[in-house]
Amino acid sequence: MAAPAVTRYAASGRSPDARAKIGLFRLRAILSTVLAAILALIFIWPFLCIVGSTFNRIDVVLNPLTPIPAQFSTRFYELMFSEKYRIQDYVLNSVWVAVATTALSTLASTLSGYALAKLRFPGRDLLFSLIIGVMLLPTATMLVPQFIVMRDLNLVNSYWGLILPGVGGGAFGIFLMRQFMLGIPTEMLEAARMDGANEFDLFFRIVLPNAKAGIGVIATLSLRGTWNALLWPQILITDVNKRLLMPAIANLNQQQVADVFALPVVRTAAIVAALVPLGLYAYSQKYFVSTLAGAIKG
Amino acid sequence: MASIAVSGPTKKRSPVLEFFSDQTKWTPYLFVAPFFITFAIFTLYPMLRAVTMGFQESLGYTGQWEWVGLANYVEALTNDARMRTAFMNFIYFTLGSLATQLPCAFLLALLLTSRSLKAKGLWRTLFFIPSVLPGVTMGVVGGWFFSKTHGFANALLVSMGGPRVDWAGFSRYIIPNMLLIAFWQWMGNHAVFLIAGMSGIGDEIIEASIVDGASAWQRARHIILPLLKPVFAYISITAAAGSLMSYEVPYVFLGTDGGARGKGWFFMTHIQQMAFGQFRMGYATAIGWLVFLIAIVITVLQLRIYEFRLGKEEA
Repeated sequence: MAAPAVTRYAASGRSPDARAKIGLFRLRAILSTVLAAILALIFIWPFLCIVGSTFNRIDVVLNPLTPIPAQFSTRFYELMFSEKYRIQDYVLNSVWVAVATTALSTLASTLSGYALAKLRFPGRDLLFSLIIGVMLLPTATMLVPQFIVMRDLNLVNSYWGLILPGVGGGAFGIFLMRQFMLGIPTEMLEAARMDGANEFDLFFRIVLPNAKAGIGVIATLSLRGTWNALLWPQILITDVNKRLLMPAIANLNQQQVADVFALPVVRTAAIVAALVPLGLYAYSQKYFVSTLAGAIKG
Repeated sequence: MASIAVSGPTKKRSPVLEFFSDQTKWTPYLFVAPFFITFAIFTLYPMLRAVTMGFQESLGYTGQWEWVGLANYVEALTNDARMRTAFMNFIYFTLGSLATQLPCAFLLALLLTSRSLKAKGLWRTLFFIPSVLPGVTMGVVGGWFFSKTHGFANALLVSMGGPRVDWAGFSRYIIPNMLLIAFWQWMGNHAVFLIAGMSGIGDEIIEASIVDGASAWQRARHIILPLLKPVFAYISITAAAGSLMSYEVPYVFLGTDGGARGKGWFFMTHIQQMAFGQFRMGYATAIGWLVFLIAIVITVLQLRIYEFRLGKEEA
């Protein structure tokens, strides 16, 4: 690969030293790009293979090392949506819970983040420290008492039991939103106040339109978090018809001894379930890294 | 008493009225209220209940509780093989994750930021993708990858003339397999965070080092690495907490019986099984407190080691 790069530059009339340097740069470009491509392919290859296996016919042996099905068939996808497995019902349940939780929690984190970053009020720094403290608390270990409280509140087998705890926005979402809001110029808010805007106008007319990127990130994180969650929906929703997608897949996964089709259906459903976070990531990718990195450094 | 009762409210009402008549005073509290209200109901109150629940045992699913004193804690610390397994698995899994993922993530970040690399965004995206996938999907993919009869790992081994390994049959494969899945899922994510951290290092610093004749390796080792300390701190704190709380992958990949020879227990799968498999709610709460404590100790320890402060304003 090195030789052509060097000779091509040799033809142009630069000094031998500069030519060698440019040649070296081209060589490094090719080497680093090829290396990155090979590593990325190794990383992604098994995923391609399991996706390929979901399109294979069940009675045809497939080499697991290749992503191309031995004989193409959409049988597993038909099975997944058939009367027996009804994965589409679980998808709908999950969509409803994820969208409701995200809408409410994103509004709450944006409000809190804005107040903590841009409004001055007694106790602000204390409240912010509390939120940081809560963020570091391993509250997930408290799942048993949380379940008992849900049972006392009659929220077991109710989607409200999944939605309500997130309505406050969550410490991490508020933290991210605050870091993001710090970047909104205070003069803009002051100017609007001078013009007689009240605090709600200020938030909905000025802050919200300027916080789209931050809102995109935390909404994505919230959707992904609620969509991907297994433990809490699994213990709170015991009614089979109300089950969410992840618990349904995990549950079906345990029936693979009794049911020949369970395993391929589980694999197909697990791939389909991954499309949602993948799509979200593709959509919000451009803001993602910068906002998260800003939060760590900030 | 009567005079105080009469004069009290009229005197006190004026600051209250003043507070509510000035919108800029009360709206901040309204804006932060949803978090603190839901936190109080769904996290703080259960935690307070959990203090007593840890000393109790539930009688089946009846809602009746029996006082057992320290018995739950004594059992968890001295007489619970699953708890010991979960603790050792946590140690191996956390240290193994950090030792395998961090150096590779750093090298990958160096590669993906090298000036000559083409299509930088594409490679970052591809390496980042596994970390956005559901844990359930990663568990299912892991189960397929290490399947004895039609898995990727065995097909690869056999194609290279190796033996077919019964990955799920021996406890010694549990942690290495989990580490491979975790590596797959998180290494690219760490690399992308490190890249974001590197983009905050000023070009002047890098150029100055080039002028001073530092080699690429010296630059990476002595300039970039130390400046990335806060990012490494963030990654290792969240990774340790994440492996302490890991549930989806062990649950799906290892199953509800704790994997081969019951050596695949992790804290959260153990708590879940105790509470909702055996209905020992009090005991599961006690374990929850112990894990809570471990998590706090580990986080505080790392915050100290890295001298890290979250939310610190840039000076």
